[in-house]
Amino acid sequence: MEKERYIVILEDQQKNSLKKVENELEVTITSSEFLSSENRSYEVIDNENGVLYKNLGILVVENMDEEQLKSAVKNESNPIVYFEKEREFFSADELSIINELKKQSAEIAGKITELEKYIINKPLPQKPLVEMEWGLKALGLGNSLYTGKGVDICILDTGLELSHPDFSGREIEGKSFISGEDWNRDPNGHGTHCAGVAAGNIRLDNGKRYGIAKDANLKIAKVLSDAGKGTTSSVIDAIDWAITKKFRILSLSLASAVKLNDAPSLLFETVGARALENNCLIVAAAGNDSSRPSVPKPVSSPANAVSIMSVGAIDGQMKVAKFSNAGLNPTTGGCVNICAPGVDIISSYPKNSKNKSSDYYAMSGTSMAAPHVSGLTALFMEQFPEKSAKEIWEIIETKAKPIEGLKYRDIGSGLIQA
Amino acid sequence: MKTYLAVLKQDINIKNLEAKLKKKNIKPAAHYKIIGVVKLESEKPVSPKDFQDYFLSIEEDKDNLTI
Repeated sequence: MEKERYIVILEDQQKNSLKKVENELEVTITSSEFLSSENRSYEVIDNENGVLYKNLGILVVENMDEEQLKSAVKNESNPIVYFEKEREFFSADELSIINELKKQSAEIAGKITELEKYIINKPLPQKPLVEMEWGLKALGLGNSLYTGKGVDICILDTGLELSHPDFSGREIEGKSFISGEDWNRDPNGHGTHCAGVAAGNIRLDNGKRYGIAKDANLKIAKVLSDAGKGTTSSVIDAIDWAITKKFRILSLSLASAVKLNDAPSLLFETVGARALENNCLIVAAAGNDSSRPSVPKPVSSPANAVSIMSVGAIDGQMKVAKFSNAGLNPTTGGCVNICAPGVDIISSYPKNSKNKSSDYYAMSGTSMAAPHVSGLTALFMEQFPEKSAKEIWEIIETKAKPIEGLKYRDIGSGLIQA
Repeated sequence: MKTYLAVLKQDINIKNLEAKLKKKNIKPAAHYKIIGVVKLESEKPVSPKDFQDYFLSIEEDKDNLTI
């Protein structure tokens, strides 16, 4: 059994008082003057013996009835005036350890409270406010807060159907480089589709988002005829116009097939380099000449120029699109730099013979992949306004996600990511 | 009449080039200063050898770009 000692303070040490205490507590009191190195207090004190420290007027007793002591204190005729349980004292070092532990536990308690508060107040995972087309989801567009605001993005294509409800209210600048055909009409539909992917917004019929940089300044250069064909000189003419106007992104969903080991055109090499020097990035479709898996074809012109970003296409299962060209001419250039969604892409489209009732239409091609990159480039240019076009190119490739099982020659640095 | 696109060398004398083009009956159709390219029109084929002091490259305009 554990010993419990009590410190008892006596009012006086007269003989009769001590006798009274001895009787009441049923102990024999030994005066401290009889203690010695051979007769220490802890050897004396037990259930039947207490020690009186005469100079202090304190009696130390063991295993007392606490209720009895309390009533003795209350009784004014009793010489016991106060009692308390013996306390244990630690050395200074032990105390400092305990104090340190108390301090640390207080800090941990504080952190636990903070964590608890965070967990309780943490917002529930938000569902995206709008549903997105698969291509935009694949880019992780829900992670971006940017909309391309203030960035000039130019689509060099078959023009734009300006009467389309998604564009009719927007301020759009354009120029036609095709004789007798206006930039603001697009009977072909290809240009309107590409413009929609890069800089459209949400579908009016179901609210689904299909465009990437909805607040970018959309610019249109009609370089392909309504039949979908164009000349090198029209494209050069348009690029010169766009760079002179200081547009930051030129999106070229057009291509001319090349043969294996064909060197890229020095004309487009130079034009791409001059564009970069003027803080402008040219993005081009890698071309659709392949019949995969058996017959991949080399990246087309002008995407095969080293100074132009070449974009391959993937489908919704993260496979290379069967038509998407490959980096088969690595010694002369002609690599795929990046890939983007390019199969079953829904975007804005004029009503025509192919699309009689809807304002939207699904298309496939590296032509659809390129404006995904152009749109995302606008977001990065808004996010990093101090970065040059060349640095933005680097960011795009650095952030791109490799796709398991797919080769560099087919998808370059990987799937672009917001 | 055929159209050609030529990439200009740096620091050439444009006046001298214009004179040479005139001599060869080649019409300068456009000078894209910012990208350093000229567009030329000629009835006869333009020989790169004749302009190696002025052009890095010259190619005939093609109507082969498609969607």
